[in-house]
Amino acid sequence: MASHVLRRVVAAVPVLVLLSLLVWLSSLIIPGDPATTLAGDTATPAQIETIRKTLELDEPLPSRFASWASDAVRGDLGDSFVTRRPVVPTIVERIPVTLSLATMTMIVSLLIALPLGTLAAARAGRWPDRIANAISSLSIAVPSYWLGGMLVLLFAVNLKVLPSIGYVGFAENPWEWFRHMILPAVAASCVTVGLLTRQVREAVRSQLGRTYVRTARAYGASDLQVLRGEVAKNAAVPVVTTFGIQVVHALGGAIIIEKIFGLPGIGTLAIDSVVLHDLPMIQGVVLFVGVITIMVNLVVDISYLWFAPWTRA
Amino acid sequence: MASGPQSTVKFAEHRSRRRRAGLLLPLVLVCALLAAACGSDSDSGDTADTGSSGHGDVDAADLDRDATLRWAGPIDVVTMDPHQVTAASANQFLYPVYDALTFLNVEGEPEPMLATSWESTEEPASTTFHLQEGLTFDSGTPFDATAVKANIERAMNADVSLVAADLEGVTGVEVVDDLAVKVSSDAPLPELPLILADRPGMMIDPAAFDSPDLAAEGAGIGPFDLSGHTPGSKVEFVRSEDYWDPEAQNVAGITMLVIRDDAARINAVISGEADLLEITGDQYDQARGAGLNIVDGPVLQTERIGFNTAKSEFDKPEVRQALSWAIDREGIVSTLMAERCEVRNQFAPDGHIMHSESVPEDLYQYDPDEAKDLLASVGLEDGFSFEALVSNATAYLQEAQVLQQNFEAIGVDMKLTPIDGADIINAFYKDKQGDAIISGAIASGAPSTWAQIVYAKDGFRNPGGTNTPEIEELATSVRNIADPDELEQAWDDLGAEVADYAFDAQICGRTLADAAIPRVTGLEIYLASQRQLRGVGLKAE
Repeated sequence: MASHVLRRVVAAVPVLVLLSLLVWLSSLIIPGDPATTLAGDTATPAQIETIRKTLELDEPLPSRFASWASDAVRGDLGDSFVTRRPVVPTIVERIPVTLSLATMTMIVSLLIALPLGTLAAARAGRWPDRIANAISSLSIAVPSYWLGGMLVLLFAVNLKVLPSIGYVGFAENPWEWFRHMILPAVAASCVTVGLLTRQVREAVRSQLGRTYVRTARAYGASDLQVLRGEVAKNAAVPVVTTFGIQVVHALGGAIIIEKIFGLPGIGTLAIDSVVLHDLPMIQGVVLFVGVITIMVNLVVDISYLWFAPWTRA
Repeated sequence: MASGPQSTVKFAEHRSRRRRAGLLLPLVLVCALLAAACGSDSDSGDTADTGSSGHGDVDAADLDRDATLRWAGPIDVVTMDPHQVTAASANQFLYPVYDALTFLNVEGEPEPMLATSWESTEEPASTTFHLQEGLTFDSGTPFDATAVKANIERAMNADVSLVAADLEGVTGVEVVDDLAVKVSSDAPLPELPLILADRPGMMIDPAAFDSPDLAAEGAGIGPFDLSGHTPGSKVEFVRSEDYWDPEAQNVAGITMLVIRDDAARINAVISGEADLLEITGDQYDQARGAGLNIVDGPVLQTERIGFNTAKSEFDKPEVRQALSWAIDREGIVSTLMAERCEVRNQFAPDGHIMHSESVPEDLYQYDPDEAKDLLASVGLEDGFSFEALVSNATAYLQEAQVLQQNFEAIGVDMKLTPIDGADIINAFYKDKQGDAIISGAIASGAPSTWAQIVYAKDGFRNPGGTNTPEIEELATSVRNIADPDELEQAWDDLGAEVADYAFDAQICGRTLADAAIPRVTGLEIYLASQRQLRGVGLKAE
């Protein structure tokens, strides 16, 4: 298993290098001039030139890339054009918010999708299955930004029982953390609930028709014992794959959800960086998402070794 | 189960009913969610739109001086060093921490602040400022003429300051005595008190000039101190000790919440997590319906279409004037801006020094026939076509489409090129893309700076680089006219010349509006668009 993991990690390195190059090159084609954006609407050409020199935007491209690459290898992604603060700590500051949102989103999704999908599979063709199908279809179809807006109007504006914006750290106040996270998490989990429910249903249903399940039932195992036993493990592979993809989406920054709920996470940072032409920050955020994607895929791959040992071959 | 065709039909019907029932449940849930979310807005009774929330109407004893005022806004602080701030909108973070030598009142006129008075001479050109006595920075550095000299010289130093251009013409600063400082210039600078109300005049503790914490924390002598900053989330200020003007500190603290989304901001105020925000024209009804008080007033911002006088047919003033005659301003304001924009034909509103009394209010009325006659007078009776850059925000795209229809009626074809709002200024003025621009025009800083940038031949916002000798003379000289009557006449003449030259076709002058919970008092709308919270308070609950 260790060698398997090592192989996966080594394979990720060239992917990261290529991603870094693509990120740096793609930032050059973003329209607009960062210096003019930072200088403001009433800037004079002299002010714009001063800013351009300060940001080293007047340096030749090869020189800028070499400087960036040599720093990036050492984990230094430069300073933000806008705040002049280092990129890496700025991104790290935002991680708890996005991590909180992603965690709550996945918890909410699993709490709904696992039992719903399993029930649908166990009662395939009957009314629980139909209800689960309807719920999953609806949750895929409903835009998360719409749901987010509706939840805010209902619980924050009308009922005033939950906050509409902001973030409180878990360590600062767990209860307030939960109150601030629950609405964005429910909104962000919309599509994930639908996708996971269907995956669970199909994966479990395909296992319930297997010989070993009939055998287990013949030996007197109850439905619950059957489901909790080998069925769960055997059905996990496609579910974990889908779960991993959704985790990447969530960790990459639920941009619209963060904007609606005023969450200072990676998604908001990404939007602000693009609008303000903060090239170093754009590069940093894209790299971060790339690293997260690689790491999550790695974890999913490793999980197969436990759920489905035959995939080691 | 019975078998046969009838039973099959019954079974099919039964399954159909069950399928419909299965779908009904989520539909019912959605409808319930919608109904609750769209349920009754809080009943506010009457709420007044006033020009001020009337701090003068509230007894100071009724204020809750231990409260924290929470302002929801779309931007975050970048730096607390006034000499590194380039956008006037970022001043909102500086005003609580920094007092300036002067203060711009609601009408945009300079009043005493750290400077109690000033007098100017023309030969040699200088302005002497007399300073408040007995003030000290937090570090113990005295606020005196030496500190003021150090600040102004730092602001003038283009190597460290991005506001040096605002002090163009200043040649030196001299300490007259502990409480008097003389600023010399190469020509009279009557606007200097106005300039020093903004970033060049904000007094930084000289002991902090080279401090690495200056950008993060600030070091001023204002009513509040910066106490916390959560990037992307909030900026917090607490009341300073021993501040010289306690009436400017009616709250214990200010929290500026960073909320990018317009809807999220107003929801935050309505749901009780913030106390006030700036609203857009289409949020008036929602704010009123939620029981918020609205304070609004004119500011130095207009909506307009600007022309590159060196491109397309815009080298001909008749063409520019024709397009101005073709615009249905009343229609645009009533249908797109909820009447929250004042139709006018010049940039500055009535009462501002840049406003010209010589420009008739009905100079360019909606008259397509007049427009066609003007086009015909320069041989364009068949019309022409041009490209206009337009901000890709929904409001501007809608406005542009209406303008398209207006121009189409006189045979002019305007092709639209949407561009991101953050790039449009650069694209049109620096890269000279497009023949015209549809966007807002916002002025900040000294009026003479605005005049030079926009009307002078080499002005950054004069992409065609053309004007008339009269405009060039007035735009470049108005900064140095000391006599008030002569200055007023110069602005009046410049306004009339500019209206006739038609650099832009002005559509309307914007109104800035704040919405606040009823407890908020002391809100003002400043003509020079400052986002000032000085003296704003919260009534005790």
